[in-house]
Amino acid sequence: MNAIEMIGVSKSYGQVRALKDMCLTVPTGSIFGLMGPNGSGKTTSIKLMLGLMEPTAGSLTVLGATPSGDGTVLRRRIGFVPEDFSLYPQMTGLEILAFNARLYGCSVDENVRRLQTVFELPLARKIATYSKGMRKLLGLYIALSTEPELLILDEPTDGLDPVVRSHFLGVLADETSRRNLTVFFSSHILSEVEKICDTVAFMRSGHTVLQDEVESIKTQYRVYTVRFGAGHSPRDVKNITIQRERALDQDTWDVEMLADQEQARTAFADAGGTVLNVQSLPFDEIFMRFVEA
Amino acid sequence: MKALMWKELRENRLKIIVGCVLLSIIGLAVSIAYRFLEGGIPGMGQIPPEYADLIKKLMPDFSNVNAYLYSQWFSKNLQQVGAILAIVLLGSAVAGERELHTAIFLFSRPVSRGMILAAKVIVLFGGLVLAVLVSTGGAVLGALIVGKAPQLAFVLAATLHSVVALIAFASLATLLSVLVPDRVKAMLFSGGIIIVLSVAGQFKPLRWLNPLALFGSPNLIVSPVPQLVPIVVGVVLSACMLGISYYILQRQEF
Repeated sequence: MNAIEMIGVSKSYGQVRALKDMCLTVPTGSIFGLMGPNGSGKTTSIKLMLGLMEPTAGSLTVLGATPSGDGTVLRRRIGFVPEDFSLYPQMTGLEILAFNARLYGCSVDENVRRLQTVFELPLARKIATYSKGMRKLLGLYIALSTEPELLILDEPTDGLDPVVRSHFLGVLADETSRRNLTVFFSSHILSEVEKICDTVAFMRSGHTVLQDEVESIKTQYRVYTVRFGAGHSPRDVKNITIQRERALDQDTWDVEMLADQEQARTAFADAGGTVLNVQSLPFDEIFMRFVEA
Repeated sequence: MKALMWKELRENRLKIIVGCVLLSIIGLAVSIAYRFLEGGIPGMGQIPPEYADLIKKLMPDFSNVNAYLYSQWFSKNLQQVGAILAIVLLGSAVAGERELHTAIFLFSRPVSRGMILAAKVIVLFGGLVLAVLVSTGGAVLGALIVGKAPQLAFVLAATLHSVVALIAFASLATLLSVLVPDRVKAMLFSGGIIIVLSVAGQFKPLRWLNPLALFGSPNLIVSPVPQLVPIVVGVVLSACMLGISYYILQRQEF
């Protein structure tokens, strides 16, 4: 079963279409990264998943339930760290953990005490005295403290210094390996997504332009330098989507695509081309190819 | 629900305490001033005769302490300061959560929006009613200090009318707090509407708009029995405004 399934989901704010026929599948137990530039629709997707908004069209299920209808019950199974949020500054760390636990119908128990050794936060202090990094860590602490089945993190490391970011990601990796937790992670920081996610989706202008495993993208996306015979060009390549093409001279082209290498070579041969060279690209450049197009 | 109420109480306890203390001091002072109007406070000097005569000319007949308390406490100081307290408490109820970016945290918890609103209304309305009761106790105590005992039935009936009026103001502030995502604007709009109604109510054809006429009744001075129409009007208006607040909150996107 998939933890999250979005099929043809659209969301409009008046005349503005924030999501356009968005499709997404998040396998249960995976660490899924949703990547896209600012304003591409990541936060809107997350708010729809939590039932904080209703889709204009399409079908969305989270942990087998419909967020807009079963939001309250569904959210009990989800831990969420919003992108831009505040915690009640006059509460202490322990008070906000206890408050959250009571809203989830559980108590401040062993799990909270176990996590305290992981996070090492000054829980007796008021949140007003916490640094930005400490507040983000407390957000993750709160989300994990109720033992959720699905953890949704909206740009959780945005604005954190490298030390806190590394600690944050380390804790996240440890917790996900400890139990069968699905993590949905939105970010525009490519290095961290590449480091911790096993599946990613790239978003552009309100819809997904690619969804695949990180390793698969890194091993299959290639730049092929191809010499085409007279009267042939990349346009003759069939059955494979070309992401980018660039003429080097009259008959030689750089062609970029996400495909199995053998399949690509066969497709080029069928189109009258000979592969001269094959190059890989760093993950961040692959991302740019998809979101810039 | 208990957790939400605890959070509201924790966040607003200072406002409620300050409201109770401030209103109680005013209540006590208003009643003690009755002695002042009668001719002076022992040990604090007499009112100069020319001012005493002027006061007698300008002020209504205060030989009846109920009339004095009704005009100076229930219809004036309690209504005005209580309205400010109602607006301060409820005007920031939902708008404050949005303005301070705690709304996304609160509304993404596994509790319904209705329950969140209910917890706010129960705690903050409770704080407001507590302030009315404590301060009216202060006003009665002040009256007893100066040797005047207001009729108990009158105090209870007038307090009920004041509670209904302030709950109507608080419901208006709740509605604006849901509608306007800025707590200062929500408070200003609420206060503005009450002021506009009060000013419009000074003109005879629009007298019914005046909150005093809507929710109070000077008949209480002579017949200390709660008046059904103003109370029903207050309760129905409050229920409508809270119902609309709930309806809007349910449909809002965060």
